[in-house]
Amino acid sequence: MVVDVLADNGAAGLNVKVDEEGGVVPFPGALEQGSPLARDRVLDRIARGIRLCRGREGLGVAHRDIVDANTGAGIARLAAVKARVLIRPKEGILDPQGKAVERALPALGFEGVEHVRVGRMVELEADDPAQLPALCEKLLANPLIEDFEIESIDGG
Amino acid sequence: MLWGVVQFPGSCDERDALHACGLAGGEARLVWHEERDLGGIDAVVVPGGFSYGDYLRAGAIARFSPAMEAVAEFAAAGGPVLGICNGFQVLCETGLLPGALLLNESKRFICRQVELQSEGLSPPEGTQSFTLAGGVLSIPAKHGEGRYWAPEGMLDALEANGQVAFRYAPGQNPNGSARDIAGVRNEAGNVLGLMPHPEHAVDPMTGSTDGLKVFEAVAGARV
Repeated sequence: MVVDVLADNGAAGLNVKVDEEGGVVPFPGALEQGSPLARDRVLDRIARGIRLCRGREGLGVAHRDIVDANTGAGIARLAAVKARVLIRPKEGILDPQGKAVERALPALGFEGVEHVRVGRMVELEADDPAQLPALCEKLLANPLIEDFEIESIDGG
Repeated sequence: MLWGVVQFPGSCDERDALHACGLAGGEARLVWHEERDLGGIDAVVVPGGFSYGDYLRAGAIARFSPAMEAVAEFAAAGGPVLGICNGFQVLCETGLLPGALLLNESKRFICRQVELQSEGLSPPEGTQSFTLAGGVLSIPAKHGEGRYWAPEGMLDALEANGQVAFRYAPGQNPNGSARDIAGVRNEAGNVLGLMPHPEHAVDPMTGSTDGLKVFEAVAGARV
């Protein structure tokens, strides 16, 4: 999961990764780019071996849904990763929509356009981008008839 | 016997399905999509319509409903399940039936009476599933996404296993379905799906009553 460790003074926080045991792992190069306060907070947490986990609703940790696993104190928030999923009919499956578009183009004066395939595009924000392939296979695409690609939008 | 007809938001053929179930014998009740308990139900119909607005892909969202979880368990235990039109799409998306239904080759919604060749169903060995005589059935079809598709190898296997239940009669394939397939069943033989609507062909007032044969085949199955 990707977490934004807050700077607490209004300055931009710092995106870090939280591993399966809750350990804080900065992205390569992130410490050099983050605000000094956020950087100090991240380094402090790593030095003290603080484990993070998801906060529970109703505990007064608004905007800080990631808490110190020991004290429950609000400490960070989830930084969703923006992604774009492109879904298209598999090669070899007749795509009547693509064919219709292809046939319409010459009538409008656009010659020489071939192999038009019409698919779907889904934009989403995910706390944990590692889930994306599974959710694409289970819901967004039907792997029997469709191929999909996942693109990160903001490089996160 | 007690039939359960699953109703999703966007279903539209559940009333005709209830009527057809009653004519085939027994009582029938609606199963709301949030129901998780099929206790006492002997056979399930997943009817036609546009469940959840056909968002994403026809049938893609319905498969996650509590009722469909219950139907999957019911089917796994050998219970007879009939999926019609959108119900067929839901069963394919759920993985209870092989293959997928794609946009009609013509891109148009079709609505017409079609002749179906029943390939003849006999229960797979060791089961008491559907029995349906071979022959021609006249049944209405109405759908926009009814082009049956599966990879060639899967189609060969379906034919070899006797899983192709219905084909459009020669020259009547309305949607570009692979090998004219209009309906298939699962390997165990207790889940049957087809695009045309047998529940709309049960009363002489509207023409053919051939659809009743499909409901009678389901009613005759014993779990």
